This record gives sequence, C-alpha cells and structure tokens, in this order.
Amino acid sequence: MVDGIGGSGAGRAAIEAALKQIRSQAQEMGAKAGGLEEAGASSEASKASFQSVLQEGIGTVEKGVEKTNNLHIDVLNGRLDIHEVAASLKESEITFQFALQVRNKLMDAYREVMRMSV
Amino acid sequence: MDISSEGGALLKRLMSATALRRDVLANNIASQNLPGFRRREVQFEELLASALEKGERPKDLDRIEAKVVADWDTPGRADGNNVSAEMESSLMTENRIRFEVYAMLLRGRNSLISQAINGDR
Amino acid sequence: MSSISNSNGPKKALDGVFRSMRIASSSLTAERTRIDTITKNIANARTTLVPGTGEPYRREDVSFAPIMERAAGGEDQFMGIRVEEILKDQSPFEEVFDPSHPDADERGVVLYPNVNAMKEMADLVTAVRSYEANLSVQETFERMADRALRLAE
Repeated sequence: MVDGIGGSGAGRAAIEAALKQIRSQAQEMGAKAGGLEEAGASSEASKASFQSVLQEGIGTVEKGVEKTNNLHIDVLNGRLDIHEVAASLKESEITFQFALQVRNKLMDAYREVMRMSV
Repeated sequence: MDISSEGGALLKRLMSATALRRDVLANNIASQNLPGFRRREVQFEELLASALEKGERPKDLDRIEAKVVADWDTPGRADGNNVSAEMESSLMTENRIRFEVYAMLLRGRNSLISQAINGDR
Repeated sequence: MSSISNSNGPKKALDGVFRSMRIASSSLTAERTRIDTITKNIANARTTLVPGTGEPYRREDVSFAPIMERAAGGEDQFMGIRVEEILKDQSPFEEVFDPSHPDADERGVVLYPNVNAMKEMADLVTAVRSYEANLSVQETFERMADRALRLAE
C-alpha cells in the first residue's frame, strides 16, 4: 500500500498524470480511428462516438475520484452510514480500475492496428 | 480534480483522536468507583463538524485540535461519580468502529493513488 | 455525551449511526440501577431496624423515563432510557407478633420490611433478561458494522 504519498503531493500528481494520459490518448486514438475508418467506409458518427465514449468514461472516473476525495467530509457532517462509505469507496476503486484496464486494452489494440497498417 | 493531501492528513488526525479517546475511556472505566470523579471525553469530530457547518473550508480545519473535556452534563450518583461502565464500554466499541471507518477511508484514497502509479503498461 | 441534551441533530461524524448503541447502553445503565435496587431490597428483606430511622427497611423502587433529544427537524427523538427517581414504597410494613424480639414494640409486635422476596426475585429475572437483551443489541450492531466495513475490501 502506498502510504504517506498523499502528503507530498506526488500522489495527486500521479492521478492527474494518469487521467491526463488517458484523456489525450483517447483524443489521439479517436482522431486516428477516424482516419482509418474513412479508409474502411465508416461513418463520421462512429468516429465521434468512439471519442465521446472514452471522454464520458473519463468524466465518470473523475467524478468518482472527486467523491472519494470528499467522502471524509460527508462522514464528518454525519450524512453517511458505514455501508454507504464502504460501497462508495469500492465503487470508485472499481471505476478507476476499469478505466485503466480499458485504456490498456485500447493501447494494445491501437499498437496492433498501427503495426498492421505500415 | 485531484486527491488532495489535506484529506489524508485530516484522516490521520482523526485516527489519532480515536487513540486518545480510547485512553480517556479506559481511564473513565478505571475510575468508576472514585467518589466525585467526573467522566471525561474527547471532542474532535464535533468541533470539525460545527466548523464545517459555519462554512469553514476543509483546508482550514488544520488549526482545530482534539480536546479532552470533563462531562458535567451526565448526572452523578450519590458519591458524585458519573461513570457508567456500560456506557464507557459502549463508547469503546463505537470508538473502535470509528477508527476502522477512518482507516478504510485512508486505504481507499491510497488505493486510487497506488492504482494510478501501477496501472501503467 | 450527556444523557439529557438539547443538541440539534447528530453532534459528530457517525453519531446517527450509533444511535441504537446509545439507546442500548442507556438501557443497560438504567437496568443496572434497577438490579442494584432489587438486590438491596432482597438483602434487607429482614432488616427490622435501619439505624437512624427508627423504622424497618422500606422497599425501594426505580422509575424510568425516556431520554428525548431534539433532532435536526425540530422533532424530539427517542434516545434511550434513564432512571428518573428511586422511590420509597409506601405500602405498610408487615406486622409479626413476637414479644421476645429485641425490636418488639409495647404490643409485642415486630415490624418487618414491606419486601416480598418472591416478587423481588421475579423482578430480578425480568431486569436481567432486559439487560441481556440490550447487550445482544449491541453485539448485533457491532457485527453489522464490521460486515459493512468489509464491503470496501
């Protein structure tokens, strides 16, 4: 478990970096996918939806991280029960995991496709 | 959007306060037969909560410290002692659960950071 | 944490969560006082003269009252049980004719406490059952809380 990293701000930087990377890769892949799809006679709409699905995913993850960030405040205000806190933490964790895995899979697929088209 | 560091620091202070509270409650139990003894308690969460209610921002909660106060509200028995062993024991259980909740929150935050660092390929 | 308070809603983090614990522990405290009182009655069932009173031991009874706290919505919320007062039972003493007894009066009658040992034993059983039931509530609560905590693992 990474302990104490939050205190130095390196943890914050790590999360920001990870999400920024996902976001820019999403944009890049969206653009590239658009280019490839033209060759494959796909519609403009599907290029846009590929990008927007990724962006939407990032938005969800960001909201999850934000929620985790403020969870202890809600607890202090007496607004949350124990199981609500536990469930919320688990949810954010799973969402973040999922986003990272999706990103990794897309990277693999992207590299595969790029190699093929050379 | 970020995992800010002051949340983690606050959670650690909350955990320290529960450790202090455990000692204060244990002392109450040990003093349950002392004539005139008034039970004591640790105030921290309520101080933080009322500060937040007044509109203070989370980062300003730094200056609030845990306080040990004597309980003059709970009525005493004939000898002036107002410790009830059952009450203290119950509060001990509560306190333990509080500690677990704060630890769980801290683990949750650190887990996200850890995933961000290790999720790369 | 006071037994009678004018707080507005939960005073701190998770207070609302622990409400059932607080109610149970207030009950435990109150029942313990009742058990102590019953024990005192039983112990003094044959005390014909309490020093300084000139009288036999008079049976004691405990009266309970609910603890109400003002919650956020302005409504009063039940927060447990407390001992309101310890009453002296005013029913008459038992008269027994026994002129040889040191505490016999001019008629040869000895006054015994207005304690019925059988009734006290029955009350004791009830009080202890209530005490145990409240302990059970607390144990259950603790188990539930630990289960909820494990959700995050």
